[in-house]
Amino acid sequence: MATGINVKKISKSQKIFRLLLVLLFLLILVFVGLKILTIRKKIDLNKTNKQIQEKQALLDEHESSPGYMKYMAIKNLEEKNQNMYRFERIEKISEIFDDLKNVDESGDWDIQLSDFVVSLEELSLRWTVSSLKDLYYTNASWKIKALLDRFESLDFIEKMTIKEYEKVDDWFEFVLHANVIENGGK
Amino acid sequence: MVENKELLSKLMSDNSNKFDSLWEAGESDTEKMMSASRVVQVRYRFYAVGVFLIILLVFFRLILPSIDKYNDEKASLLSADNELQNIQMKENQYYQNIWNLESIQAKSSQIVSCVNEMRGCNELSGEIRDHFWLARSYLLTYNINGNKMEVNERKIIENIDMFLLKDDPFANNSAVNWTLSKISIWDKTLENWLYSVPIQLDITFEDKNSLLSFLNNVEKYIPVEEENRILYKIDKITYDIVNSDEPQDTTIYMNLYYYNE
Repeated sequence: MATGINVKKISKSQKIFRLLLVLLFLLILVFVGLKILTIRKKIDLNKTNKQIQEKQALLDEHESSPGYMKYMAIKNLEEKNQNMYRFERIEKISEIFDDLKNVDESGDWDIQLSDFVVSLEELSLRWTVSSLKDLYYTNASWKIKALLDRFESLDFIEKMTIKEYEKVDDWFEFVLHANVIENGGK
Repeated sequence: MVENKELLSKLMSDNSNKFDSLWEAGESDTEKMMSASRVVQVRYRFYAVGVFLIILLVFFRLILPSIDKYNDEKASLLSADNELQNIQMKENQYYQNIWNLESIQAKSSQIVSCVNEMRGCNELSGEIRDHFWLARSYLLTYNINGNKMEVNERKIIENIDMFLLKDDPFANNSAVNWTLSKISIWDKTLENWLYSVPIQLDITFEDKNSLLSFLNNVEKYIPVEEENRILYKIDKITYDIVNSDEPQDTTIYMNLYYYNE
């Protein structure tokens, strides 16, 4: 009986030893595998770096030609400048101004032109009306449309705000602020 | 009877000695085996510990550094691949730019006709039409370095007088609907290979149309003769559009650009 236990113990030690040997072997395999992969990556890296150097040298040579440098300098300048030119902007602003003037179709209202400020981003203008009713009263059969509705129907403005309606003598005065939609909504 | 007893006793005594010797012999082999197995067991334990230590050594001194090195190489390769991709994109962009540039050079007269007279615009490629203002600017940019002056101001004044200030710059006797009162030319600066020369013009415009006509000359049209071409970009212009029916004194700040080849 004692002999059997001893034999079993020996075989257990051998088993552990053999397992460790297998593990060591596997680790060595992993190490060799990693080395091979690393070498392959290094070869790829060298190839890629060589390609980068060749392409960069070629590109530098091409890009340093005077014609190309002139083209790129002008391209940079164009990219820095606004997309829309002054002659286009002024025409758009003029159209916006004419549209606003057309809101006063009946001529019943008075636009204070001196306070008219407009750009392609925002506008503000001072307006006077004889009665608050002019701002909200609409009657289709009499072809009367409220002034605020007329502003609302302008397709080139958004985010309209009127902060105050102030009575000055017999008139109500207000300042309209609004954002102009890109390209004046045209 | 006595003899039998003596014989029996002798026999028993002999057997007893034999059994003892046999028993003793068996016990000694087992011990030997046990001690041999203990030796083997200890030896394997020793080997196992040795191998375990080697495993630890291999793991910490070889595997982990190899993993780090592999990861480093992998990261370097990834970064190099990205760099290569960027260069390839730059290369593609370069060929695209060269193609655009060659198209502009080849189609320069069509571009001028399209800009000035709205003729032949359909003959231009989509690329040129997409970058129309770039093509115009390219065709307007020439070297106007002066010999004794910093810039060739003779050419600038001639361009302003003969092109910018004309109601119709392509007509021989064109009406002028504005009055020029001052031209200021400042020192040139170099930025991104382009020289820029700030210019200020004080002009009285009769109405909005005369202003638009002037702006068209500055920003839209291209002089037909190459030697008269100059690129301008307006920085600032002050004009009261509400009073556009009346003559207005206007100051125009703009930059002239040229490329010194």
